[in-house]
Amino acid sequence: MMARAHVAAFALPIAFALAIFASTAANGRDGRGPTTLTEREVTVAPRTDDRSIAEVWLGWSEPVGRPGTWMSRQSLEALGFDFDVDPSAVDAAIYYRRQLSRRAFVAFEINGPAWERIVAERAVARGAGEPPRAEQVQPGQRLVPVDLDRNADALARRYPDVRTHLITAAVVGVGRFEFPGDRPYVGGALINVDPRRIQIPVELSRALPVRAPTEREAAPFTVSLTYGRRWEPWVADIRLGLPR
Amino acid sequence: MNKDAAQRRADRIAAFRAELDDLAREGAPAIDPAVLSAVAAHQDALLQTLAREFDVDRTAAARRMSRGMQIASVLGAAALVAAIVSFFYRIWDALSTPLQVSLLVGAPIAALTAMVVAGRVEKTRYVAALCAIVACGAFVLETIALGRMFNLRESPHFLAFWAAFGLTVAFPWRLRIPFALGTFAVVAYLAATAFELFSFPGTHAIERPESIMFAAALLLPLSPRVAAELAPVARAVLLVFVLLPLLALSSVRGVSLIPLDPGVMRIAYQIVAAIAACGVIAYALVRGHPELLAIGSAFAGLFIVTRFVDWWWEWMPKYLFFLIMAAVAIGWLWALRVARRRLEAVA
Repeated sequence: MMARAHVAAFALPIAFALAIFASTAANGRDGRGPTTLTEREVTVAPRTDDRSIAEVWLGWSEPVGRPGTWMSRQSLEALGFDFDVDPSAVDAAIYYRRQLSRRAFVAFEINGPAWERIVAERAVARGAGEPPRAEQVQPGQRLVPVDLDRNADALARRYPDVRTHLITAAVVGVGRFEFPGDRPYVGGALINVDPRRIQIPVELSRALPVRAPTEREAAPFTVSLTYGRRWEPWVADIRLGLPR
Repeated sequence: MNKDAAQRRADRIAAFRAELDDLAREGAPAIDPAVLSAVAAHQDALLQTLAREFDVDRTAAARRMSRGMQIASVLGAAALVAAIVSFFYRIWDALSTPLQVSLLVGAPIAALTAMVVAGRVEKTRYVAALCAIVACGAFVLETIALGRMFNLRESPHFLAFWAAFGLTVAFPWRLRIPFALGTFAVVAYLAATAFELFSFPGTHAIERPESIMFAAALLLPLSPRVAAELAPVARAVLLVFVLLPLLALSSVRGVSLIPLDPGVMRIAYQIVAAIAACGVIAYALVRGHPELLAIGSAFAGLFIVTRFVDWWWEWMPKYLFFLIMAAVAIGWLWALRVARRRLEAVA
């Protein structure tokens, strides 16, 4: 007769799978989306014979202006960060470096005014005086973070258009910034989004361009993402070629 | 009686016989041959029983062979887990989603089945132990792969599943490696959850090692409550996860959660580490726990080396630095010899 502990061990793989299904059910299938992203917002993970899993990674560009200032002090304090120490104080760097990063929700603008400001800034930096050609722009940069909140629903109310804004869970931190000729200040940092890696179901993976490890870019494609109640995404569609 | 107790009895019988041989060669007063014969017959019968029921090693060569078999078992299990993971990654895209889920759930169950069958067929349970490690690896693969398949957000709760699986696999047959993995998962889960409860990512448990240290320290007093064969594993794993974070906290500035000056905290933890090193070694000597003695001695050595490097490496002539290290090592050896003589005197 099998020991009870062994019976429990046999049950755990099934129990875990059921827990995953329950979590997926709780996430629901009627969430926010679909939001269409291109190879300019997500990067295709390389695939080889030994690694056939189809995945894309969300990527973003920092907004123009001083680093970390797109996160307002009020929004960072609402997350629980402390701003008690003057950034000019002697121990300010240590004080702000020691603060732990926190979970939040971030709204990204997709190929909107924030991205256009980045393009304009690069043109000025190059001294060309003209906006760069599209093929000169690196993929994964047209997502630009513009807002954050502790409450995802509050963000969704502020940015209701799924075609222009993507909302996802994230990890944010604070830091002390100091540049030559400028007073030190405290700003935010977007450390990661959760999940950043999005796996493509095998039923759709055939449509995703294959990128070898030695290739920098994949062929143009679009991926449609929907985020459920738990802010976990699923891939609704993938198409090759430029978006309509 | 368990296997460890049986092996200790077999070792004592072997030592007794070797001592009798030495006494005879040295011409010591002879013991009545009839008594010796009766004792030898009793011991032979006892050894046969122990070998049949617990598969004890009756000679030093057999013991070395067993150690080799254990190492081969662990290496084989690790290679098998790597093969399973690599196989899944290769064939993933050729499988439908239901088939992917079925294989992921089925792999640890298949390994558990093999473990149960092997354990009932082979009394040494080396193959069963190998299958148990493979089952743990397959279960970890299932949790990670399913989470990624459905794009779940990060959560520490999968660690609770790892812990439950490792412990339930380990307990019936007292399998050490699954138990060690399960114990580690319990510590990691407690440490990560402590952060997640306050909306901090659980991964901060790695950057702020106090959470791991306190979680392991909380569980350490419970280690005597597990089965006797697993208690040394519990003590060893938990002590490592108390001392390693302590070493980090005593060496690196700014990783403590306590909101005091980082330099002050580092010195405070150096004092704690020094006391802990001495305390662990003393406790291990008094209670006779060889695994704690080994861990405590290794920790003390690492701590001393890191302190010496931190204090002197930059400015001291290198020959002098190594000379002082050698003097400390010799002094340490002398102190342990004195401690051993005192323990022998007490015994």
